[in-house]
Amino acid sequence: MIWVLAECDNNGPKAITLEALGAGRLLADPLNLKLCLILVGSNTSACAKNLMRKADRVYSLEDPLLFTYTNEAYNAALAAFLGRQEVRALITPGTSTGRDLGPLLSVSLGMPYSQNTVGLGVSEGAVHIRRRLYGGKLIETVTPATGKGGVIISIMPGAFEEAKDRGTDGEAARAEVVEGLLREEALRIRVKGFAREAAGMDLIEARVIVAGGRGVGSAEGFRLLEGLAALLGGTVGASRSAVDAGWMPHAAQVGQTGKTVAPRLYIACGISGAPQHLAGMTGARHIVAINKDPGAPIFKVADIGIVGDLHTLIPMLIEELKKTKATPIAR
Amino acid sequence: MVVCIKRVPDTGARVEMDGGRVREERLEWVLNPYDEFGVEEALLLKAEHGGKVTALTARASGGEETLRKALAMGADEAVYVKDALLDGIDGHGIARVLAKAVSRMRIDLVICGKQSTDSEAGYVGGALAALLDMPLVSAIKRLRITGGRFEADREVEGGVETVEASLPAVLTAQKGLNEPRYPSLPGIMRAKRQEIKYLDLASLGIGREELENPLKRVSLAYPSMERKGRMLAGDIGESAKELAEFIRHAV
Ligand SMILES: Cc1cc2nc3c(=O)[nH]c(=O)nc-3n(C[C@H](O)[C@H](O)[C@H](O)COP(=O)(O)OP(=O)(O)OC[C@H]3O[C@@H](n4cnc5c(N)ncnc54)[C@H](O)[C@@H]3O)c2cc1C
Ligand SMILES: Nc1ncnc2c1ncn2[C@@H]1O[C@H](COP(=O)(O)O)[C@@H](O)[C@H]1O
Repeated sequence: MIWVLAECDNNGPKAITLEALGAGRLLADPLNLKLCLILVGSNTSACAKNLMRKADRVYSLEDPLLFTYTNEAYNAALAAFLGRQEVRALITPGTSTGRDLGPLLSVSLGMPYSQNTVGLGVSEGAVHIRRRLYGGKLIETVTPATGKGGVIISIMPGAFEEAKDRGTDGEAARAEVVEGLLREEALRIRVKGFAREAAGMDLIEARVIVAGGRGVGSAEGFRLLEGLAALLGGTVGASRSAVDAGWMPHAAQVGQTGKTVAPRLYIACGISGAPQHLAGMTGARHIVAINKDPGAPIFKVADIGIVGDLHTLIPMLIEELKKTKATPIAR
Repeated sequence: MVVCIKRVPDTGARVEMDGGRVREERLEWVLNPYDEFGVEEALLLKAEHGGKVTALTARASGGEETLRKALAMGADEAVYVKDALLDGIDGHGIARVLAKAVSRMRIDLVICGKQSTDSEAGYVGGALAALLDMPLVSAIKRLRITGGRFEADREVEGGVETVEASLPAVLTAQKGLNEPRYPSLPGIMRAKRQEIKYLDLASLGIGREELENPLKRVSLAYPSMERKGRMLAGDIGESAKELAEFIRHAV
């Protein structure tokens, strides 16, 4: 079977869960295997409800000790459960949680792990995994050496189309956490708290990112970008130069030493397009570049490039977008 | 404390291929930036709590320079698992080799980078924790040790999570944890004279068959990153109109 590990927040499944289901379909259908979703937590029903039509079977792995994520408890529960299942592939989200958990599961399930997956397919019955290396400078295709042995596949956010609804609900199944498997006193890691960063910093989940670089010129300049982002329901990102200048916090940095993002739309304003910046954003579905230097390397990765001063262009763009209030967002 | 370090191509470098393999001889190598945070953090912990900092690397060749960088920063000891059989071995095998090497040392803490900038796997730290049966706290941006326990801030989507765990443990370093120091001139001179301790796979009791990569390469290619972009360089008002049209379709 093809397994998908769900990630949910208070509002239900995260977009990456739908993408992971979409990725899972690319294997399940040609291999003629069932696509099974696993939800882990202490009350998974709210999240499960939205996903029933996208998987063939939905398992809930529940225990009070799974209420807050720790890699230790999740690894123990998932390893115990999946260890008894037939696993051809387990698809995990390329989020901080998935990337924390994946290597542990790889060891406890005895399965190889592949990160930054951007494509999946089946060739002569073998699973083929396409993944990024060297910050996106190369793409490698790998396949499990053991043929049919299981593999853990961590997917890049934004790389896969979201799963579509099937006509009917999948089968719901409850997976018991083995009594006594998780004991509070045996857990070595405890979560003490969570501090939300400045609103709008959730770049990895963002559908639209308006990013600024040194060309933005000042912290005030970023207000302009915030205006554009707000209009498009997006978030503001930054190059390292803008972060180093103190105009934006590090949490907003996109690139090799910042975040890897894959929004539907990335608007790069006053960013030259250094390889370390490109490493974080070339996965975007659509890329717009605004730069006054026609030779800026960012234009090489852009779908549309505007040569000009961003301080003149962006206010005009905002006016244009307001004029014909954008048609409802179609996915 | 053990800090696992590896060398990576400078991120600004062009990565070229030849017959389905990366042309390594043409690359410039640096200490993986995330490992630099790891070395710095170990040195800060040593200044506060005492102890010894051991830098550890595993590869077929060329690891000396990496280790000397850590020694020059102030590490006390360098261990190099050097073996021709490690050529082409991926993180799965490397984690096993490092686990064997670490399990022979008396340690309180293993620090790895969050990921290496070439594989971008973020695998070895987590796998090492699982193999050593130690708690894993990944992508940390702050660390405080008190007695046999520690508290760390992890970077997660939308914020920072604070966790507490027991030692010994494996940590992986995220940017923001500290500002790595530059090696001092005396540090560089001293590092040149310091001895590197060599180990090989036989001495660790690991056979080649245990290291086979579980994922086989089918192909390696340049991505089609370049897009056939349209350039708008004329009247800026017209550009704004056309861009607005594009954006409306894109979102
Ligand atoms: C190990 C390492 C890791 C790194 N990690 C990252 C990373 O994670 N993320 C990252 O971004 N960088 C990273 N860098 C830095 C990277 O190499 C570049 O220095 C950085 O991305 C440049 O930022 P920039 O494009 O904003 O600035 P610049 O390169 O200075 O470019 C500014 C651009 O703005 C344009 N411009 C100026 N004024 C205007 C205007 N009024 N209107 C329109 N355009 C204008 C200019 O033509 C220019 O192209 C890293 C570097 C190293 C060595
Ligand atoms: N060959 C190696 N020798 C020593 N440490 C390594 C090696 N490979 C990886 N590491 C450590 O594991 C971390 C994560 O690497 P990776 O899984 O390749 O992203 C690195 O930042 C290093 O701390």
